[in-house]
Amino acid sequence: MPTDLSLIDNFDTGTKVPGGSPFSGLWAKICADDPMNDTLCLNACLHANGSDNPSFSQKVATLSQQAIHTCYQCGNCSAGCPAAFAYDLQVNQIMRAVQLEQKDLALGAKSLWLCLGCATCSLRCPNAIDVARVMDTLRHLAREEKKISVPVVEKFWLSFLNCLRAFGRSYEIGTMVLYMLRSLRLTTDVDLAPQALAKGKLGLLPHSHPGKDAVGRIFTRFAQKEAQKLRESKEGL
Amino acid sequence: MRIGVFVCHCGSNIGGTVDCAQVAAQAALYPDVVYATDPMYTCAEPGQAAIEAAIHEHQLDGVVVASCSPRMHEPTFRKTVERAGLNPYMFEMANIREHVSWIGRDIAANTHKAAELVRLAVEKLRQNSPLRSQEFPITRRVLIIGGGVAGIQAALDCAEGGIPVVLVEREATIGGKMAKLDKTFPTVDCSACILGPKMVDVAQHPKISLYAHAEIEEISGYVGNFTVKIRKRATYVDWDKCTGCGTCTEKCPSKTSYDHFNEGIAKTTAITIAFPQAIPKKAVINKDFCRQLSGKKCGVCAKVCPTQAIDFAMEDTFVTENVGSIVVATGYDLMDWTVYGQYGHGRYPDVITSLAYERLMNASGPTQGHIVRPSDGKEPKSVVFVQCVGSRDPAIGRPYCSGFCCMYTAKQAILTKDHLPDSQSYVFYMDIRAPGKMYDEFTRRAQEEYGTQYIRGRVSQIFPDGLGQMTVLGMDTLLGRPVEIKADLVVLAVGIEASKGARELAEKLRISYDAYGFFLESHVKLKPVETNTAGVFLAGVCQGAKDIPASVAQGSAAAAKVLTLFAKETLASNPQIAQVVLKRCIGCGKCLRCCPYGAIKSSQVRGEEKAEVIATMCQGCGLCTATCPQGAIQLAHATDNQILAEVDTLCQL
Repeated sequence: MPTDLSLIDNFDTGTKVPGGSPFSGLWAKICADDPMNDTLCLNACLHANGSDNPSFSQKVATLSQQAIHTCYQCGNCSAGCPAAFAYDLQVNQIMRAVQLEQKDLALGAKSLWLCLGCATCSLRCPNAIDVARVMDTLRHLAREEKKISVPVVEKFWLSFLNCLRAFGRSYEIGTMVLYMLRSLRLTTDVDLAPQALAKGKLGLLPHSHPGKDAVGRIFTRFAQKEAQKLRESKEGL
Repeated sequence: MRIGVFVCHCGSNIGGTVDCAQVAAQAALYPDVVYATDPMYTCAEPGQAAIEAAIHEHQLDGVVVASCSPRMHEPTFRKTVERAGLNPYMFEMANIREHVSWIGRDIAANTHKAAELVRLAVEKLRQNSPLRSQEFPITRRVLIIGGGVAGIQAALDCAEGGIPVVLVEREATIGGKMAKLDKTFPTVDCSACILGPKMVDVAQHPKISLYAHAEIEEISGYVGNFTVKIRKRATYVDWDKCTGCGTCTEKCPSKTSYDHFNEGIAKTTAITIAFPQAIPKKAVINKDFCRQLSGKKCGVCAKVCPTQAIDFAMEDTFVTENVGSIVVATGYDLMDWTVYGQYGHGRYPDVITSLAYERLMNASGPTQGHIVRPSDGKEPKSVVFVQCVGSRDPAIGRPYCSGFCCMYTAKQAILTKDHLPDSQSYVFYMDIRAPGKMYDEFTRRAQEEYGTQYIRGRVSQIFPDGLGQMTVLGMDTLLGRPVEIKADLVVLAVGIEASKGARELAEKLRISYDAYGFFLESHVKLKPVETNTAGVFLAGVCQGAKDIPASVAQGSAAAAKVLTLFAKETLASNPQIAQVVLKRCIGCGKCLRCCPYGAIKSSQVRGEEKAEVIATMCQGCGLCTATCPQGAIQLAHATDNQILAEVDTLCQL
């Protein structure tokens, strides 16, 4: 977990933080930043649910169709994960957080958005849990809760999907332009563009193909279904 | 008839969800019932005494106990009524615990069902007649299958107890897996030094006859009188002449045989003696690698043998032995770990099994105990041990713990440091399972005294780094970070599976096995060495993962069971067997064909073909009863009339 270096500077120079000693102020701030530093009170979340009100882990288990409770923390998922170096919470720690009903911890993990979806974790799991599917489920839940801890990743995905809907295939320049506008990262990766253009990896115009309307209809159908679900859930309430 | 009914509370086990007093009150109204009561613990001493007293006081001639499963306590209560002078088969049991109180919480419904079950038992008892068992002579010899440490212990204990032993071993030498080990935990004493003398004792004991390189072909018979056909696999060496001098193994020109004893870490000759302390110390030809036997010109061994013991024309031979009891001690094999693609499918020479590592460390092994990398013969500086390879892995169908890997991995880490003081060992583990005496202290020593790094997590991948080392990618779940280790040698603690052929052997023995091929004991806690086939006992890992101390203990336990069985000259047969009603039998022979025990023979009665049950062989399974088109075979104590009486009553309730 990267710590804000300016806080360390404050500590070294002895700069006073209002309301306490530099030491306590520093710790208060680090602890507030890092969910791993909080002591978790487990009973409240573990016993609050009945069968009518499925717990967070039950919900994840149902949506992902995976037996979350069979995870015995061998760590093989994390050991094989190619993105583990960038994770704030390792995959096995996310599984543990779900088992312990730590919804905020699990849905707030940056790792969810750094996951590449390669499914090596699922391949390695000795308990045959499709861990990648659990990660996917958690991303969906985080979006539902509007808790996206690395928003640029979602923005990139949306940009990609917009292009896919419009052209039926991936359109790199379109994706990048949309992403830059959405994220306001107007210069990101532009240094790669000349090389990519020179090698013919970046077409200026979108590829056209006969099935593009059919792809578009998939998106439309999905949107309709989602809207229907939303209406039903509102009526149900 | 005068029947007494005892409805047991079993503390709150039954009393908690069944109104036992009410069941007893209802039972008192059933036909022929003259006495009914509801004791707290019927199987306890006062409970049994109360049954005896009631039999005398009320002149009972039949007893029903409504309590638990008859599996455990039917023999108990049969003895109780017998003590009071009744025939033990004038007793019936109604299972109102497993079948009633443990499966439902509705007291009214439970009480109703319990009363119905008691009613059935009463009706059955009204049809019962006294049965008497026969005495039959037994053969006081024991067959022990498997010459590993468990089988050796059982053989020596039986032989010391005066029982002649037939010991059958599949390999060319006894000793099993323990003979391959270098040292043993938690004392780090030399395996060969403690097992070797026992192996010699087996060879020298006048009461033990050893068949090595032999397998069980057929088993027939029953407790006290088994007939066993043993296949002596061809060794192509006349063992009566072979002196074990080893000249043939030195001269054999075929030097590329897979070395089973050394777990394949070296090649051996086509004619071999497994290891210097082998018992029997006799040569065996591996016909897959022998030049002469694969049609080429050779015969070097025959020329150099000083006693002319080589016989290329040898074929499998069979011997038949009669025994009264059988101890099965067939041990285990390592599972096929090459299913793990992430560990290289077995392609990397420097990724080896723990058993191969034992041979590498062993002074009698191919490297004389010098630890070197199989790939280039160099001493490893960094050794990674990976635990739970093929254990606790439901994804490949092996959810069980292999039990002893945690301990031998600690031992191997300690020995590695002893052999190579400059080396560093790492152990990837999930949990350390060290519950035995001095075991946890031992694993602590590996860490504290020998500096072994224990890393809690599983290994995701092992691959060569291209620079001569293996890269081991794992996870430190305590640190919450993936870790990478450069290893010169990787040792996999490969999980165990039931010995090859265990299932087939179980079918020959008519004993049960679990989903993984391990033999099933008769009762997990109270009959750990018995099987469901009388006279067949288990010892060692064939029953489930266990280490050497536990295997030896079970070997002795099995021997004690054999000696107990043979303490009598004769055995009493079970009288609950099939009986032929001669006037109904039409001699169709269907019963002969369906009997799994060969207990029915055809005989001539006044010139007509009739079935005849051999009383001592019939196990009372009832298959013939169900098969007979004439209803001419009845199972004593479960006759059609007895079953129909119960059904009839149930329908009228």
